[in-house]
Amino acid sequence: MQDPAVLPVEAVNCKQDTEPEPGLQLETVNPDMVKLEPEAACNDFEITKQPEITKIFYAGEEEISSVFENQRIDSDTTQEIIEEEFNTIIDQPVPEWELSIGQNVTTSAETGGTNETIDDIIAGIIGESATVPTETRPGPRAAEAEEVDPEFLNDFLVETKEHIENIEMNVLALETDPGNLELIHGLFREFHTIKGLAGFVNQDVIREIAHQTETKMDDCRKGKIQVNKGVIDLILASSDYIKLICDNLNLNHDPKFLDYIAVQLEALKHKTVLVPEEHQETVGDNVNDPKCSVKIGEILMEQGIEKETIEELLAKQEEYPGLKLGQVAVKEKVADAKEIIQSLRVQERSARKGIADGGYTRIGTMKVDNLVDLTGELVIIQSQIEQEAIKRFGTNDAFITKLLRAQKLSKDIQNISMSLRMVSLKSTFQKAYRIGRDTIAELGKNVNLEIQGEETEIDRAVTDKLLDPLLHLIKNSISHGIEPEAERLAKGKPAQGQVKIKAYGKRGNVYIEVSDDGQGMDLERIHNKAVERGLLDSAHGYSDEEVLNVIFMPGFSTTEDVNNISGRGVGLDVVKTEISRIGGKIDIHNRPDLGCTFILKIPINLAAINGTIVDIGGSRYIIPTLYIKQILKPGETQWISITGNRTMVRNKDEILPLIPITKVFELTETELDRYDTILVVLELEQKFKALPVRKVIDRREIVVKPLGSEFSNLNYMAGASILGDGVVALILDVENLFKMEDFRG
Amino acid sequence: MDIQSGKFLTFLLEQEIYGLPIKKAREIIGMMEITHIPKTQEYIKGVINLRGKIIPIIDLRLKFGMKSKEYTERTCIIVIEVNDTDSQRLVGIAVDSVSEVVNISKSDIEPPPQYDAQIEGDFLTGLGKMKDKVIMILDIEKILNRDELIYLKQELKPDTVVKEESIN
Repeated sequence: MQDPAVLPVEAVNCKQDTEPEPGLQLETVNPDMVKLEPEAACNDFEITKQPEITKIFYAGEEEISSVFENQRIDSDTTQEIIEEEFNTIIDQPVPEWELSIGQNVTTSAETGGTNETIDDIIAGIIGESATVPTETRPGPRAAEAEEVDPEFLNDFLVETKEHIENIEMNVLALETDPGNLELIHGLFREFHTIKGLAGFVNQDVIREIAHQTETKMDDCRKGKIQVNKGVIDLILASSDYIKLICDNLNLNHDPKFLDYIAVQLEALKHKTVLVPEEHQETVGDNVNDPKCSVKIGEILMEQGIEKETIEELLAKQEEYPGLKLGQVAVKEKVADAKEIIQSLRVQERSARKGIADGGYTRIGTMKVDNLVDLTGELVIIQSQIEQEAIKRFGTNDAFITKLLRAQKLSKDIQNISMSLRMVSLKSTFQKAYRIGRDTIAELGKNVNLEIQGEETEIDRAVTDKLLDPLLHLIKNSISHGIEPEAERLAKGKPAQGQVKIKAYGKRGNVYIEVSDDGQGMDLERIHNKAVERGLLDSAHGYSDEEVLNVIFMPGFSTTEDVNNISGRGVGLDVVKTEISRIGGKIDIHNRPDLGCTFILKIPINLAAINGTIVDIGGSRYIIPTLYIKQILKPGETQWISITGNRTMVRNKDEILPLIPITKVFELTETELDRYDTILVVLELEQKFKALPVRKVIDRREIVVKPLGSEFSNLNYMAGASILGDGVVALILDVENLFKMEDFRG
Repeated sequence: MDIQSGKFLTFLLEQEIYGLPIKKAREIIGMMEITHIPKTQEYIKGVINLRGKIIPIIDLRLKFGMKSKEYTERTCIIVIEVNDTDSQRLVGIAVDSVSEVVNISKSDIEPPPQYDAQIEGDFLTGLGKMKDKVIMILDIEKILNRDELIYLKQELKPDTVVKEESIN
């Protein structure tokens, strides 16, 4: 199934390949920037307050970005660019540490921080930017267990982040509505809860921060003090510190940080938030993303810096690996840090203005899904009206012209509504990266983790389900793939292992590769283990591929030592199930002693595929066109019967087994129009099978809809779609139809 | 389950009057083309397109073990909102006809009998006494609960497996 097969009858009209990039219709600004738009919208879906959405948060980026990012309704291009840039900055993989500090910088400066403080920041930036590479990320949080049960601690971290998220949502509401007692109560309770939880797991620093803030909130709710900018800054600062510590428990032992926090806490008591003087490296943008760099460049241009200068800077940037464009600008004395800070502040202010103006809307997932459903219906009904109208008035009528225009509009709306679901892999990859690094540290391995192609876009529904399988594969590569350092050196490999996660889009699919340069899979060991566990028969000869596929079978795991990275009884079979649940598949490229690559192939848009509609026993079914190799009408002599039943067909030199449709579709032999049968030849992994159908009706783009959890065990149906006449047709699950034969031997 | 007084949507199966809390019913639609799904239980009639959403249709007669009956003009699909622990879904039930919405006060609702000829007593939440009739109030969520409904038939019968193995 590597390539969509071309039917001999007509050319495949594969809309997926030609479909405009999501979001393009929305804007006419720089396409690079616009491309980020759907993501901005979709991030919101994740954190929206809709009760049905489960929140899983590992880091701060989402929360903060979500606060500012929203659907754009106004069309002030400049402001958009700035906002876009702002969003991009806070979406960088590294900066939760930097960001939160950065945010304090702007908030406090904005709300009455003195000039002296700003100068301090700038001094800090100049000092830091030249010396601190982006890699000085906080270390792993897992190294810190104290005497607390790691599981408790983990629960605490997850829960605290949830509370922090609520706090951030509430504090922004509070800013626009400072008198809202309910919000104040809510915030008080959140901090109170954090305090309690922190005490339980001996996180004294967090407990103290929460305690101080809670006290202030108590004063607020009792009316002792008014909610003002200072209070809001205090809340934001506290939540940032707590978040920082959650993300890096080592900070508990960092005397510099602790001193800093102590000073802050003292300051909080006096209602003033001091600006942090350390870790001021967040100027400008991440060098790893050239697209983003262009954008900080554009902001600088807005501020009167020549385009040529920016281009020079971009070139220079390559000489300073690890530096951001803003930092390069400072270093090259093109702009001073004050200007950079200023531009960052402009971005934040405009983003904040967006909230205050109500210029953005946060939309629940359900609503988007409904929109997609309804516009789909609209398009169907409209084409029905069109057909009816053409019948009555002929094609040249003015009415028809208008109707067609209306139809075009509905199709545009449909495209836009579908694009709302698209989101880049950025946040998924960031989470994966973070956890991957934690794993490396936890195991004490020397591994370099690399991420590529995080800008690749995919259906939002997929990203949620992608993280777990991805994490599993990454952890697998780190813990099982990469050999210990000594072993690597003995093999003549570099001491440092490489694990790479790479995403790219191709032919309507997104491919995600997790590769390592470790030891690869030991087929013999897998074979022996599989035999031991009764998964393979020792007497039977298996191909390498068959043996390799055993690792996806339930109950298979070759690690004898159970550590807390893997070995929780959850194996690669779960990965495979998860991936196939989102319509994807998984491949392994194994090179013993050179490494192993897992390739996930996931449909880019869960919602649309090219389908061929066929009639089987009087009902319409849809076959995903990419599985169709050929369509045949065999002559009487080509059939091969076994015990009176036609079970195979001969096509030139090949003998094709038939899919037993009576079994799959519950048809009786009489319903089968045996002597008027057309065969659809399906291809999967270089194997062919023929599916007898009564006729081939149509080939078109179809919108895939789930059949609902009730039918999740229905093996041979992959979903359903609504045809042009509004009737539901089932989509065949070709992979399972092939498996059925495999099962029969 | 404790039954609250209030408005009930009543409908007919054969000559029997059933009712369900009106707030469970999302809408009532006429019969439309149902796409049959192979290998599902007989009472699963298939799926329909409800304004772009695909929802399953349960034939309540068949679910209750009653004789099936040709669908007529009067046959209706009541779209029910089913709340699972983690999500909400819509399921359509096909009934002979929808009759009316009635008010039944709590004092007029009797607890269900321990056994029932047609339906397992579990599915009844009570008997609503009206002037001239008794309405059987269904615990429709329970009836449409994913665990209660067996959507799929047995996959492969053991004998077919044996037969196929012997061929090879």
